[in-house]
Amino acid sequence: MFISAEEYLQRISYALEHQIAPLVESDHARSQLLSAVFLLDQLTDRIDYKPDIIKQEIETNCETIRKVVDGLEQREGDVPGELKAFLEEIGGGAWIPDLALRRRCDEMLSMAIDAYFAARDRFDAASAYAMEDMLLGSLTQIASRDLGMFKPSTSQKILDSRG
Amino acid sequence: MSLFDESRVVAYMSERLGAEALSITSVWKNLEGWSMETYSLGLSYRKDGRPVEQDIIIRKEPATGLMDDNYDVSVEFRVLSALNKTEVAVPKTYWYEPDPEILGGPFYAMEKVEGEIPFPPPASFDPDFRLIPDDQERQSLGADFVRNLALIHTVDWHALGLDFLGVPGTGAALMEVEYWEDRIARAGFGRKPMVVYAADWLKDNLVVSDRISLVHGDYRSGNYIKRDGRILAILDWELVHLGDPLSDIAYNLGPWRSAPPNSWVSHLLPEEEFLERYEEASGIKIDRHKLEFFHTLDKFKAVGIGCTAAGAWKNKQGLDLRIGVFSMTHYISNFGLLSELYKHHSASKGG
Repeated sequence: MFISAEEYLQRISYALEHQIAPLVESDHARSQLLSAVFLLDQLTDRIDYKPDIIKQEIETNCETIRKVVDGLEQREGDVPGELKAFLEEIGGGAWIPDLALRRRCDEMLSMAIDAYFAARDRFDAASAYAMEDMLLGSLTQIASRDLGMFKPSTSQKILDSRG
Repeated sequence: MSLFDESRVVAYMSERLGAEALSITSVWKNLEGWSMETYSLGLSYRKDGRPVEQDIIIRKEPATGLMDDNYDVSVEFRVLSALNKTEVAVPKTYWYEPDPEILGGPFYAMEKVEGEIPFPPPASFDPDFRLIPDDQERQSLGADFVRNLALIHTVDWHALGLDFLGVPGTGAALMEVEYWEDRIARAGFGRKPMVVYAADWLKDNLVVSDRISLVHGDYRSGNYIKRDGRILAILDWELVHLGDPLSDIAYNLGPWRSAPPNSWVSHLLPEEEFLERYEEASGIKIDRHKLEFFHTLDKFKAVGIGCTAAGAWKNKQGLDLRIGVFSMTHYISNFGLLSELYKHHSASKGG
């Protein structure tokens, strides 16, 4: 028998919202309880799919970094040595998709974006457009996924319990 | 009265007000905000032999709050005290108390303005929802809303001694970008590619500010007190600064609107009417091209506030659980910022 974290959280959340909250008389206390329900609801997908989420971000960001570095090198723009070293390390394939690597990937992509904007005048209008299209597309891929997991949940009830 | 040490507060207030036989008849804490703490104190005392019943508002630095640890309630006090000399609708300030021992943090006291605060839902999708159901009252409030914004933007801040807020010169836009970049960095989540992209884009597309005004920073419905169809006091000056007045205009044209098709600014008046009335009242011509920049900066600020909330939620104990809820809304503001950047990106292809 296996009950997923998502199912546990859903059952707890349901009980708090529908069985406990109606019994709480204080507006303030009820708003706190419903806030807890809201947060539990946000966590359900994020817990069960955590490794997939991290892996997807690392892969997407690394691919984006590679494209930025290629674009800069083609135009003889400055590419920080740290970025090249990172790509070589990742290219070796022996990496573990954990939170530390995801954070480092964020740092490296941030560095790549800075390097692109610093060298933007080396790109003609069409190439700059294509590069920015690729960057925005990559950022939107992650942001859309996160937004898709966002659940309005009890937000209106929290507002109604203002106190 | 468990919020304070009552005997200490009674002694302090008696001395401050020159009062005899002072008692605290009521204490109410506003639980709406998550930063500066606001209390209403009902006081009963005798002065010069006569009985006095008085309500005062206390605005106090929080022990812990949403933004960060650099709270300085004296800034609000100094700005409001300066604006007491103008026509801007603000509560009358009484005094500033730097001693944290009295109430657990520095605070200032001001008059209690009687009235209502119409608080709009953060996102309204119901086209029939009316924050101000009476049309005549809504229009009257709309006129006051614009008039006060125009007054704020045209006060002589230098003559009022408000230079201490920091005079940005023509680089007001860059100062704002850097301010929010710094706040995001202080939230402690490391560099985020979307934030970096947006900051780089904003710095590549900076506008020159040809006018520096007093900027409220959070001017909207929910931050004023109304009574009998008039706005009596503009509240919540926590983000006040000197900067480009377009910053407040862009904020007003952002999410604090009623649902389509009306999309009234702060649930009060149509966009075109808002802009026309503002230009007429302030004499400031709104540059629509510059306004586009400030729309993007506004979305950047929204991400900044979300990050700050998330940082506070992660690092501070004892916070209201609703801050945790608020921190989760950064997924929405991230997407809003990207949509704004895409808008400029699409326009760049057309151009």
